[in-house]
Amino acid sequence: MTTKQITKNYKLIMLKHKRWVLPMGRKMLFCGGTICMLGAIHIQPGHAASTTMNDERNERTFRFSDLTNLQRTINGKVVNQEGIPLQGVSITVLGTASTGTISDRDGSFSLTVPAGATLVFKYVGYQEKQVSQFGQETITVSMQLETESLEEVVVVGFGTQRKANLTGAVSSVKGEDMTRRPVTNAAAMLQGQVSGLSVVQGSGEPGSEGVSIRLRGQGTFSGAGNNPLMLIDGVEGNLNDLNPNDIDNVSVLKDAASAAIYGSRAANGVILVTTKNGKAGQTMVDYSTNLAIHTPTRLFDLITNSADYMELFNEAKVNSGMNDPSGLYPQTTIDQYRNATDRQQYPNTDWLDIFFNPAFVQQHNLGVSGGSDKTQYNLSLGYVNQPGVFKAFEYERFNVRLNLASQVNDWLRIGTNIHAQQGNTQRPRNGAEDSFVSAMSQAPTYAPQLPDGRYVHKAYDFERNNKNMLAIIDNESFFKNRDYVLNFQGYFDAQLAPGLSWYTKGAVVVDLNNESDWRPNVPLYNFISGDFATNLDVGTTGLSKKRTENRYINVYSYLKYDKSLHDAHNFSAQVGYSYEDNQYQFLGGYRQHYFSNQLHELNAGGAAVQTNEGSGNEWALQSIFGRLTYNFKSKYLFEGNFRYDGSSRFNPDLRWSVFPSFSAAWRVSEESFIRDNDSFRWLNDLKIRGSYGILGNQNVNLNNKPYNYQDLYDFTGDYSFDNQELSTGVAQGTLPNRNITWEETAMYDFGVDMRLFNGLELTFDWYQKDTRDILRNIQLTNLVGLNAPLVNLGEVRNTGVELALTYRNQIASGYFEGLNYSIGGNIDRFKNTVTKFGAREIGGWTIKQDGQPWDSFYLLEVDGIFQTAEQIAAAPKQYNDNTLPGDLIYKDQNGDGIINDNDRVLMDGVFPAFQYAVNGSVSWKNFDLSILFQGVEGRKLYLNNWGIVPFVQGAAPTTEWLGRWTEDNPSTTMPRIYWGWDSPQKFSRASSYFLRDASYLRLKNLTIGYSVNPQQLAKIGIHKLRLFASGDNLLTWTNYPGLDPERGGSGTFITYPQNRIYSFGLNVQF
Amino acid sequence: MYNYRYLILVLVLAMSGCSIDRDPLDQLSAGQFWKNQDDFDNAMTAIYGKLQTPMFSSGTPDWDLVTDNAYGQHNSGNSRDINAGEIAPSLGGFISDVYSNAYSGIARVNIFLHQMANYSGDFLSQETLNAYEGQAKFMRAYYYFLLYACYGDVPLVREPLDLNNFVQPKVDAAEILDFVYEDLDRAIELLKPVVYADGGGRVVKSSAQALKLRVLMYTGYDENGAADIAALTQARDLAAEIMDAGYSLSPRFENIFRDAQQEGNPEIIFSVKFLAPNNYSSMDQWYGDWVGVSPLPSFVALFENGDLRKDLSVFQNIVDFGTGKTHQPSNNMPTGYGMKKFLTPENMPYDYSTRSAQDWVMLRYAEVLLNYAEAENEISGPVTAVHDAINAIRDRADLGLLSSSLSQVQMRDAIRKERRIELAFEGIRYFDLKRWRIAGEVLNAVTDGITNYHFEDKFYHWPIPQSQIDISEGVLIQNDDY
Repeated sequence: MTTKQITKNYKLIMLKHKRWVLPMGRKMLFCGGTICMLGAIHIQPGHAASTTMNDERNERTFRFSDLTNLQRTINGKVVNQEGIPLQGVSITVLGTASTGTISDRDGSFSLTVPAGATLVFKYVGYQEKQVSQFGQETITVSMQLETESLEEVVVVGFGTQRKANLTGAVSSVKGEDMTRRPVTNAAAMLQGQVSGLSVVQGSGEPGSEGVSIRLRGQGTFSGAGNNPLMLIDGVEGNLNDLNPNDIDNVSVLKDAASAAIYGSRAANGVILVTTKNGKAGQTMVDYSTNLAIHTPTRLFDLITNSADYMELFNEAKVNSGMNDPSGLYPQTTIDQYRNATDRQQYPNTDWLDIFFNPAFVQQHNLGVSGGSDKTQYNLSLGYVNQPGVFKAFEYERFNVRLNLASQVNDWLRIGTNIHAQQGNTQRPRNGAEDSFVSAMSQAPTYAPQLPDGRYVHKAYDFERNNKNMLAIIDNESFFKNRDYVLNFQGYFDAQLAPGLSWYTKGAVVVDLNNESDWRPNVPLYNFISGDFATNLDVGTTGLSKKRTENRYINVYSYLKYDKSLHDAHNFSAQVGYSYEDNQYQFLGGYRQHYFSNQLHELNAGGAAVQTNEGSGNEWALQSIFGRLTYNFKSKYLFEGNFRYDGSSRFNPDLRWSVFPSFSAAWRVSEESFIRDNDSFRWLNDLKIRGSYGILGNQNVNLNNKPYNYQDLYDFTGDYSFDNQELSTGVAQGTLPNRNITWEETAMYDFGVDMRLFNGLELTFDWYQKDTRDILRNIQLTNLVGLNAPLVNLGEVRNTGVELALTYRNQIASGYFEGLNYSIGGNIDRFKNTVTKFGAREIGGWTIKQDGQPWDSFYLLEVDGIFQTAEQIAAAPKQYNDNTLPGDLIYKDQNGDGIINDNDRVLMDGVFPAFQYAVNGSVSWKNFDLSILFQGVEGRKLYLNNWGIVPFVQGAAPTTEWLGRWTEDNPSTTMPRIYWGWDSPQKFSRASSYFLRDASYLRLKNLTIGYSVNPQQLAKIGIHKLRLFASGDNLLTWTNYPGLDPERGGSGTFITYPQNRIYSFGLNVQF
Repeated sequence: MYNYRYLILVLVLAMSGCSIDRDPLDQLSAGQFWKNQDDFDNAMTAIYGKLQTPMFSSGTPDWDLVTDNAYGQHNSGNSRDINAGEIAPSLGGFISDVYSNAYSGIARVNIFLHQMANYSGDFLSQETLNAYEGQAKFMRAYYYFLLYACYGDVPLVREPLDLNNFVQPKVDAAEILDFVYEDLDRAIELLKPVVYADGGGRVVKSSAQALKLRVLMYTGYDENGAADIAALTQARDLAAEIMDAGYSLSPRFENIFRDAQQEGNPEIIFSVKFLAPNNYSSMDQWYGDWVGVSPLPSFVALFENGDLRKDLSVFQNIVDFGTGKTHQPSNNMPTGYGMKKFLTPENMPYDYSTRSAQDWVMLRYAEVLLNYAEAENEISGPVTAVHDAINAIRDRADLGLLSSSLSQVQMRDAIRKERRIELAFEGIRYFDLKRWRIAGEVLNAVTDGITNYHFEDKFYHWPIPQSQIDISEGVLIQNDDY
């Protein structure tokens, strides 16, 4: 370190006891005793060239010059909180590259440093600690386990708060805890991290994981949606549009009190993501990489033996009444396949095996961060290349982020967060589910290609199948999207007066998509004859291109004032304004006839059939918000929030609404009868808190038509009277509802936070959340003949409990001396009840009805399988069915002796009974290990079509159908086999046969790391080197059949698989 | 302090620059509409456009799936459940779609008529107003007739409804029927007395007459299937009037259904038009490739030897027009047959890219002749005029004349068979089975229908969709027997 010249004038304000602070500065200049400290730099008042006093204003101006730093040797000892020496602690001088040492066996160290230096202590599993010397030559540094300290600062809406002072239910997650998992999607990384936060990854499709995030149940059933508001550095964004490595921390605002400051968009909770900023000091270069092999977690077994397939095919068809021999495999053909030796001519094609293969996925991140006292920066580059486990699925992502902050002068700090992401997505054009469906909807009797490379339709005309996926993939019939997300933020933070600050941020977020959908003309041939059969079904042939642009602007500004009286009464007040404006536009074009399959641009297509499309919409939101907090000695805490929101989506008379919230907390452990009582020494902290607030939701029919309150006419399509020209049709499409307004969610929350025995932390919350005025399409009679408008009508209640526990400790002696470990877990459950819906609505397999969970299962109950004709004769008549032995027995629920739709009953499982996660971590010497289990209990899914119904589109049945009911094999679990969609109603009715238990517990992640000894690394100029291996979705315990139980909702059984990941990586810091 | 001025400046700028008034960018507000004749014309276009809903045009062949003519492997309209006798208030498919689609069409007409009634400008001539009213009422009658024929008693909605009056009780079926006649008579009075080919693609007087004839024929039999001579006499006279209007049979049967020959075709009395590439249906794909309608073997066996219509109506295993091109359907053929009648040879191969432009022929002269023959035979027996009408149709199919010695009953059977073949897949058969009151007898005898058939008398009227009962809070009463 060289001598630093500081020659600027600093105007100081005197606090009591002669402590002096800079009026504007964020880097305080504290003067105590004989030393002043400006940021990291120590200044002895003796170096002040001049000082002037202004007693009237309690101000004193120092002029500093020529600070010569003395070199001095510091001797010290590093211990943990129990006083045990820590060996191997890295000790460096803040802002220097070369000076540093490591503590020895006794925790002792000795280091010669410039006077005024700040020492940085780092040790795995412990909080980084910075120590400034105040004259002592020998210091003892006590390091704290990396526990969620009460002094920890938590990000809340428009600011931060000490965790101890929180009155609402807020959970926070560190970025590093998320990025342990080797997945590429930041949202998926939140899984199992926060109680009450349900994260369901829909599938493992690269770049399109379909992660659903629900906080505290399902509040609304309207199109306004249940997605929590997600803010990235204070501006609405999408967790998917982020490099996970850029995340510093995530705060989840769970109750109304903490979310109400976001008012109209916070009804589903708020997730605040803060990205990493640079820290003053030495420039750090950080590179990490992660190389992974992805395989499907589970895939079912299909019958791949052609002869078995053909026999079952015939049996199913005959059972379904299609016994025309021309639609069945002749026995001679079956025998040919059974006995063949030429498997090219008589194949047993395993179609899934062709398309599912391990995928090699890589991630790289390079970061440079650091800065001076005045300016700090964090620059990061990220790259992900993720092919899918299914052929032709690919995702690639580039991220660049620059977070820059600068202390311009003693009162003004400015900064910018700039992020650009570019993603490339490729998938077969019909999407993931259809690709899987098509791949399996084939008979094993033929191969995808003829020996000469031509693509096959099928072997026999009566076979039923879906698209030849290999033809789709080889001919690049892909949907491709090149998307850009650009997020520019600039802000300033001005210290206007002691305690009074002014923060303003402006942001522009641009989301551009450049989509292309190519459907070539590909002839398919008969496998046996080689004759032309049909053209590949890719939908309408041709090329569609679409560009979309979404531009979102957000400006917000707030004043915050903090005041403390007599060290006991602490007030803060905050008031702000926010404006949001969103514009969306798209433009698309299409041409049908292409002469070459090589050229994929519109102009390369024929002009005969070409269409274009384009439209747009916009909305705006304007808000005033504020917060008042008061606490008495951090013992009794009160907070009130309000937001006053106006939305363009409502009629001007009903546009504005107020969303208030109140919360209070009592830190019982601060009371003298606890704090001063030795029998309560085990109780480190106890806080009881409660809150109530109202939140809103304004996402009225967000999709394309945000103006439901207006009486509107649509372009309904054209008609030609003369068969030559088209005339335009215009008609009213939707009945207007001028009175449409906000959905409101009122929530009570009571919580307890405890810390016991210096290591056990516990947080418990109970909540009740009532969503009312739910925007739903009114149950309009068909007589009106128009689409139903949204009205504020429905009500839903969610009641739930959440518990989170963490225990951390360190082994003080013995062989495992120095071993740190922690174990934690969280569990939550909620009950969802529709309290007001209107007339019940029965769907395919669900019912929407007052007093029941939303969209509860409503099914016939299957009560076994008929074994004999006598049994059938004695049983209630099953509809008008021709019931036979081997068919499902439907239970006569109302006892009227006949089975019909009135025997459908409610069945549970649409929402899980509870979900839970357990995590643990251990670090010892150079090793670290972490483990995460995650589970969902009591969730059921109604499954249909491929994979559960045999022979849908000719799809090979799963091998369990080999055990189907036959006269020779009177199964009690597998019914008689029927043929796909031609199965008679007696099999295909919505019944509990198709309702499957999707509960699971899985080893979500296991990570083992090894950090190379810093002493050895120091010699080669490396700060840190960690190697790790991480596995994801390694083990699963479930009763779910065949595929992965972790998926979106009910419906088609087929979903793109989840990934089991084995990865290896390293992290190196220079 | 000095830096407050920035704060004030920024706040003032922020507050003043931000308005949250926004309007849709691709929809018209009602206040801007109905201001000139173009607006009215566009609204009338939308009334015609409504007929492009598959149920009213390109999807009409699906109606034959609930008859003895064909099987629907894709269960269109829940045809398999309907055939199996599972007609119930919550069935869905046809049971709910006819109701919702018909009232949706009615609403479009009602809104138009309402705006016409409130019109006080000077940009519409009386002639224009008459033409609007005639066309609109034809459409409304078409929808109400469908409701009447399917459900019987239904609510009668004459005016646009809103959030305050959207629940309505049903009225007696007879009242619906009266309203159908009222609209049709008004349309006949107002519409141009020219043949459809000269009507500019719009509804003409004879279109309304032909629709009225269809309604009269529907009411021409009582609950036991006995002829109602009064109604049939009215029908016969109306048929005779249409037969003098200038229509004739298309010389070639297939020309009625082929896009290139439809314009100016002398047989077409009303059709729903399509114009590719931008305004098209999926008929060729749906019927030619997906085999949405599979004729039953027993139906195919009905064709007499030499009947030209057999090869023009049905294909076996492969679509072949003898043009050198063929199409092998990608979907199954559960009965071995597919429906060929409305397919376009030039559009092969049929797939997603196929943009079908053939107009849907809703009313045609052959039906008028068959109606005439049927009514006159019931009234007067197999007189010459009956023979002439039916033989004209047989002659075109290259079939010989009917024996002149047929009894009235034999003639009735001959007409009914001829009708089933001539009008196959045109959505007529189901309603014929109902009006003749022979649905149970015929349908319960089907043995080659892939699924079991089960028809009960209560199915002559469908239940009103359960969802409509549920939301009407007791005002709308379910039909008897459901």
